[in-house]
Amino acid sequence: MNNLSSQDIKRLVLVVDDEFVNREMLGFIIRRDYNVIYAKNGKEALEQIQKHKNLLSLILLDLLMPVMDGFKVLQTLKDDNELSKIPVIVLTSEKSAEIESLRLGAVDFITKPYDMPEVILARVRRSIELSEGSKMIQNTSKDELTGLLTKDFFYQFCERYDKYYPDEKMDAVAFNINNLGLINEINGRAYGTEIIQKIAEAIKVLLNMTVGMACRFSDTFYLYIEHKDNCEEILTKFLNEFNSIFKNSRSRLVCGVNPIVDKKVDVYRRFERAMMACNSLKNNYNTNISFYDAELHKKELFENCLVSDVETSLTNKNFIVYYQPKYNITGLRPRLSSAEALIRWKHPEFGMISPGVFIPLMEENGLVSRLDHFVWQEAAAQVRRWRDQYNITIPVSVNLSRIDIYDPNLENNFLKLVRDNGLKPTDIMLEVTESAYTDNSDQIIQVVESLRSKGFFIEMDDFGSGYSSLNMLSELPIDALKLDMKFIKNIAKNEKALHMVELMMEIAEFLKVSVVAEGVETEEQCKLLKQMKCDVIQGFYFSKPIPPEEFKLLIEKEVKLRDSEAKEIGYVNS
Amino acid sequence: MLTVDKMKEMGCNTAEGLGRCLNNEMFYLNLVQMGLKDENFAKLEEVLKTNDLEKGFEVAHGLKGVIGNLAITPLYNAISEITEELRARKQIDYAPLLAKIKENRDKFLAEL
Repeated sequence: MNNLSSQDIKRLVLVVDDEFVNREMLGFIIRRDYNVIYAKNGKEALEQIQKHKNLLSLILLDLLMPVMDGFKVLQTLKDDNELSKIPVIVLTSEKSAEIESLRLGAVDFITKPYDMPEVILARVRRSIELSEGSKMIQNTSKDELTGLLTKDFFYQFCERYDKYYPDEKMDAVAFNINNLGLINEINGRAYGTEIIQKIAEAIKVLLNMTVGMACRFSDTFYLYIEHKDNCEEILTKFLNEFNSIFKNSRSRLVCGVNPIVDKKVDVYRRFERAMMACNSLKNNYNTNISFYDAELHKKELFENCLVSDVETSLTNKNFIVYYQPKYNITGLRPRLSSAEALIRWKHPEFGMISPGVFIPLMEENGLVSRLDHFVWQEAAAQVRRWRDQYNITIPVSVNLSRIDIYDPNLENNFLKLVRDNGLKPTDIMLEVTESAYTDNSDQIIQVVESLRSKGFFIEMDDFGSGYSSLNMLSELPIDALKLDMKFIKNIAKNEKALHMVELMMEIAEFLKVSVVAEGVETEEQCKLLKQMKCDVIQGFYFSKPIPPEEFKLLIEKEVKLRDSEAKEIGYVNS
Repeated sequence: MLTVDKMKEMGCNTAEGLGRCLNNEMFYLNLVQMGLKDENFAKLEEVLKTNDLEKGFEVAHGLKGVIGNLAITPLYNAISEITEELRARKQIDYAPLLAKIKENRDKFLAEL
């Protein structure tokens, strides 16, 4: 059996006839396309039906039988909500029996002597198709781009396959094209599509060599295939052959395998596990294949725990907003100009959890939006408190996740937020990662342009890591570029890194936007950035992210500085 | 030994019978042998001796289905005849009809 679809999985048909010859003959006709079980009277039939009710696709039922006749069977099925869904074709030579059979729920008839096998098979097939609504399924089960299954139907077929072959050892395999967005950006979307189709074709060839099925969504392919002891060898060969087309690029095809799946785990989870293995390769360029193992299982359990604890932690205030100051370095002395709000999780069981651990996790399941809203609320209230306490405005920047961009109430939420706290839109700065821009530039440009028109200040976060084209950058509605910290890291040690940052500064100048450098840790880095006319600096050199009670000391210092400056100016003027 | 050709010669619609067995001769001939030895032939004689026409109809009807599927035409015709009389629950002497069935059946059995 090759690339399995709903048509290919052998369905189970029950043949009920008291005559051995009739049973055998009918079974012989349909056996090639169906799995067949038999019963020689109504009583036996009902026993078989109960036993196989979840699998049974059709019953071929004789009417006149000893012990219990077919009418009684039909009546019993009709009276049972669950069993009445199994279609029944009545086997009869009696015209008079047909009306009664229809009344009792039969869907069709096969007359005796039997018609030619083709006719019988067509009737059997049609009855099953009608029953399963397979015409509708056919129209929506295939991915248009590749001809593979769509994800929803793929899951259904996996479940059905398991029902028929419960003892078969199966592997859940996930293939992912890393950086497909980059391919689309550099080579055009048509080329990206071509790559997806090529991979799909190669997967079909792979499926021809084994038993299984596959689906595609976005840049990911799932395969549910019969386990083979040399599966690593087969998949590695597949990856190696395919990855040759990605030569000299940062894109590649990677594969995660959940080997010999645990069939007690639901089918979605089996593929999430394969995907976990796949995602574990993100920063590992030594191999393109990874297996779901005990370590990943432990990680999965930990992550599940975190996800389920989010709401309680929000209620119990285990999430805290820290603030990292940003200093303006354009003047003689660095001056506190603003801050970035960063979430921290003081988990009651696991202690302080790095946002690097829980944010990607929350991004996967959409919970990040809940956290973002929490941070926005806290940050706005904090700006208000500082103003009330020190008569100073320290604007705070907050992160916008990809999912937030799709929220139709985003703008209203921010307007309400500033209104409720008596702030102006300029007091809240919004950070959007560069990769979000490249993922869906049209949508994001529209949203961000509208926010800017209302007065919000937009910073492009992680600039340099999202592969924007210069052409695209010139069209983006932004007020500042935040240089990714990995570019800053080596500027004092490495000429190349320094030139790279110089280049980015030139881009910012060309775009007429200010520059914020993140991850500045040393005085030397700070000096170099100042020489390059960088406007604002954020990093451990000035301060790590700190809680509000510590941040207020920085504000107090700034207030003193302003006071003394004011005095100096007053002294000079007098 | 009963063959498909022989059956054809004896008036059977073997194309139909064989077709129902996906043209698998061996399978078909096995079923024919089973059909000819069906215990319902003896049962039919038995129930008609007690004049149980209802039961007689059930048995004859079952035989008609089997022999019809196997396309043993001369025997099928004889069984159909008695089935129709029994369907109408006619109080007639069924011996001649039974004899006709026996005569036809014996011809085939002799070939086995």
